Amino acid sequence: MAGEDFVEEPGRRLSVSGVLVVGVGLLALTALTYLLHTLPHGAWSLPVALFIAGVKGVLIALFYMHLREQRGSNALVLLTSVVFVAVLLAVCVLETLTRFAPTIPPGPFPVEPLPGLESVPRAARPPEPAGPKQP
Amino acid sequence: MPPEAATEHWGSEGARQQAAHLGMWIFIATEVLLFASLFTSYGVYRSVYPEAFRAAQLTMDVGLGTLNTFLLVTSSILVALAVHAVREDRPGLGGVLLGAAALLGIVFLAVKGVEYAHHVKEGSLPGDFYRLREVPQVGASLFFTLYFLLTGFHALHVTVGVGLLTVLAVRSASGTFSAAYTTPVELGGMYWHLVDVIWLFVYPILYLS
Repeated sequence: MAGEDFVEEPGRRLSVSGVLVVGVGLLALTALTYLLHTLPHGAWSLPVALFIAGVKGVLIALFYMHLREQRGSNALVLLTSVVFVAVLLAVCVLETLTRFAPTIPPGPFPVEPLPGLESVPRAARPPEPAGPKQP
Repeated sequence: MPPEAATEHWGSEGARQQAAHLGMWIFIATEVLLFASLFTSYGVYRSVYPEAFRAAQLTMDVGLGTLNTFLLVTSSILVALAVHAVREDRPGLGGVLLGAAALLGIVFLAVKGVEYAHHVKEGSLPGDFYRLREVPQVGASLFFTLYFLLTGFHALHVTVGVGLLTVLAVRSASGTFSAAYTTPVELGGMYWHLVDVIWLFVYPILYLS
């Protein structure tokens, strides 16, 4: 290692066989995801499928996106963004799941005028300000 | 541009490469946060309308979604092999592999187009355009709104990636890159891998479960 100049360790670079082994692993995990989908599955199917996707993502980041060969600062950037994604997702979903059901609207509905404002007579509008109109 | 010309400013070639990779990772972090908002919307609305989302998911063509996953994973492997070839001072081979990866990206977009045509035909469209009678509109129209947003944004990224890979393939085949100058191929490859990783999460939440 040469202090500030250290960027990557060439010894950690993947060989052709290494690239192919990781590739076969990725294809096998994709096939596994599909095969698990074809089997009878329940509530755990989505978490399991997302876990397999996470494993594939880690493999790609480490080996194909060269994180394994590089300084820790690059991994820190990725890790930080993943933590923020997890916080955003967890807080939002937990808030919705724990909300009192009647406070959740029943679904998409067309925009309608407020009651009593279906037809607005001129007299019902607030008076326009006096003086010259602002450009 | 030969690396010697660019390194003076950075002090060393190592520092230049580190800056380039760190910059790419920061860009990737912003992309992750962009898609995170859509994934969060999906999580929230799925927890509100679990039955409607499940019913809408059952109308999806899992075969085409799986085919697209295999296409992107295979293209990622080709890009990783291309980076290795350029690092081994074989830019010609690298160019061919990058071109093949770009071609798989175009096939991905074509398959996506076929899927979109099916959705237009059966009326599984977002918001007010929703006409699918088999699944109730409440909740399901939100599923398809998020489906088109997620896959549309992703397809946009695939399109950019295909352009990027094509430029890199041509430049690599013409001998611009070598074992001493691999950074553009590595960074372009990282972008393509990002596009692949995003799809790996889009695939299970829209097609499976």
